[in-house]
Amino acid sequence: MTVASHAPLLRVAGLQKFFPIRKGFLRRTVGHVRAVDGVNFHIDEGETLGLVGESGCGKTTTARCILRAIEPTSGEIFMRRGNGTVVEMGALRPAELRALRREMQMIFQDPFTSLNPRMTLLDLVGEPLLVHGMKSRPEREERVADLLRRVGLRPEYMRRFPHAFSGGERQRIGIARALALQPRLVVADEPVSALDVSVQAQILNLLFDLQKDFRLTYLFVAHDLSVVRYISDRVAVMYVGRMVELAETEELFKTPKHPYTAALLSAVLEPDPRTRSRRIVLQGEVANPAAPPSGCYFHPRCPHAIDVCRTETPAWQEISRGHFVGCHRAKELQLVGVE
Amino acid sequence: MAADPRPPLLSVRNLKTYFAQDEGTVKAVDGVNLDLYPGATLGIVGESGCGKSVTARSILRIVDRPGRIVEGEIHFRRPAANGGPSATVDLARLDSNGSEMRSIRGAEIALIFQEPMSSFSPVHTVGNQIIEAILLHQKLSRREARDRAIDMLKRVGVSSPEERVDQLSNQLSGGLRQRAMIAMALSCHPTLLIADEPTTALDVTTQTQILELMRRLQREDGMAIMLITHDLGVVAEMATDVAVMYLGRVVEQAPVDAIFHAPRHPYTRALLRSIPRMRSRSRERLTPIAGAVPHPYDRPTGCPFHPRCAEFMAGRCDREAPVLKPVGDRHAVSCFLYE
Repeated sequence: MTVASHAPLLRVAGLQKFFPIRKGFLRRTVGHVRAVDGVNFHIDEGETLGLVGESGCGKTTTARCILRAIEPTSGEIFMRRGNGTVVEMGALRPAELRALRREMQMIFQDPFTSLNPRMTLLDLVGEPLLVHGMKSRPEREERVADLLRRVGLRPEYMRRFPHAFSGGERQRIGIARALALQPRLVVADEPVSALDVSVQAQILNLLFDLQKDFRLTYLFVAHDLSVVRYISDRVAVMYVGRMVELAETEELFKTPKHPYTAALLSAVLEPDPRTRSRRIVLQGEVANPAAPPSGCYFHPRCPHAIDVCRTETPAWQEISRGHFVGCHRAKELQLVGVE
Repeated sequence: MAADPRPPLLSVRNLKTYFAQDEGTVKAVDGVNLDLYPGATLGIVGESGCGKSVTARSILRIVDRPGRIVEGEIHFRRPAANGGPSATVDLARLDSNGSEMRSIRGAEIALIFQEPMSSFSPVHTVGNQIIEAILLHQKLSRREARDRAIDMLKRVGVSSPEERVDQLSNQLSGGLRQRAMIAMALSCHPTLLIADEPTTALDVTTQTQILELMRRLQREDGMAIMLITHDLGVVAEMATDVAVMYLGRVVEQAPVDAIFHAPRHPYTRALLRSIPRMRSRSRERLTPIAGAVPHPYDRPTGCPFHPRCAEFMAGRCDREAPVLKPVGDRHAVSCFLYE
């Protein structure tokens, strides 16, 4: 354990998670799905890191490894605790890990399935308080009322069940539950993608306000680039288990350095018919993480691929301050972003 | 664009589709008016529960029980048979399982769904399902139908269609399945294609491919498309005209440019203000719409949008229901502000 007050809140180094593919009567392992394959990044206290990519790119698996909901295959995850000590999560004993878990919470995608329908709001939001030692019921009720007020729900609704609430309200309940233990890191996995368009903005504004008030740090996992641009300070792009680019939000959107990022940006449909333009239409589909291609995983679909891309894995390099990219041709390509 | 001199291909008048249930009647579609011209693309946008899918199912006469068309007309112009004049039929008056409706459904009006996973039978090959659709509507031998199916798969960009035709749908990826679905829908050369959230379940780069494909096929075949979606970006990209729905009614219909650049209805305006955009600066507050879409049993009186409307006029909007009235060239709005 080291004490370092200026260390990032979270640092992930060489994270890998492989899931075995089992076949046959003996369930022998015949291969691995390389869901996360060597990911490096950090998040500073109070900032929001957006993690984007298409389905199967490993963004949710990365988030689950950080929360220790699943055990990573290899790699290290360092978390700076409230008292300034930096701990590596893999080296913790179970009791220590449980204590650390108070400091990180998750907001889920689907507010219809992530709340137990048989529990009242008081039980749902109060449960983490009870588990972590707040035994007095009046004290709990007071705290739950406070949390509900904080997320824009009326405390009088405390004894109702989640089915009485709309999708947006349920997502507020989920947020109140996540905030109950005053976490420092909140992992939000597609928190607005199941909501109606008109309600998304309410929840995004709420997340924004809570971050300012409680100095929260967000890892925001999403596939919608407009939403990610709105909420994030920095954005990381993943493709088939690897990170391909990481930069400050404005820089990544204006001057992408990886051809996949550029293609993703060009695929976003603006709500404006005057911006219809020729888009980069990628050929083929996302590679299979159980049998990824050689070299750069993106080369079979990349319009800029050259020989070296087919044989060698590109290094993760910092091409300008804070702008990381994993592409052999990052320095020479002139890619178009969003103006 | 000037008013289309040709008569509309489809014209829906005062359509009402209600679901009578124990808890009360859900007025899923409550007086919808729409016009769709040959070769045009009409985007129907709205949030969950606005009745956009039920409108489509009413046109195809496949509304699930206890849903029933209680009022209104659906005029559909059938193509001329053997050089004869084209004739208009009122689909709302046909027997939903009668021979005339069956000869229209799937042949002249085709449908593609959101969920490519569940829209194919898992136990029949993709080819057999397309062949069945072809044989149902066209006088061809099985051999010819199979060749037609392979041709269609090739047209929609399925690689090695001779092999794919004999595969089961679960052997295809999401993007390929959606292509196969489009191949099946277009195999009988419909004059109207209804696409219900065709790209919602797909990744963004796959979405770009599918939209591009739909546009190319429309150019080649000249069919009209009714595109149902909640995604304003998809509408801006594809539609020539847009109808905005809210709680079972069309609140505004206009050419696509007018909807996005000169919206008149407060709901359309608020919706456009509430969504995060790629070109706006990051970390700016959004302007959400207050409240949530009401529960279908709890329909507000008067204008359905009045409880959330910033321009609500007490005594008027909560008492009377506005009707769709023209405010410009092919632009109609249902709001008391314009009366």
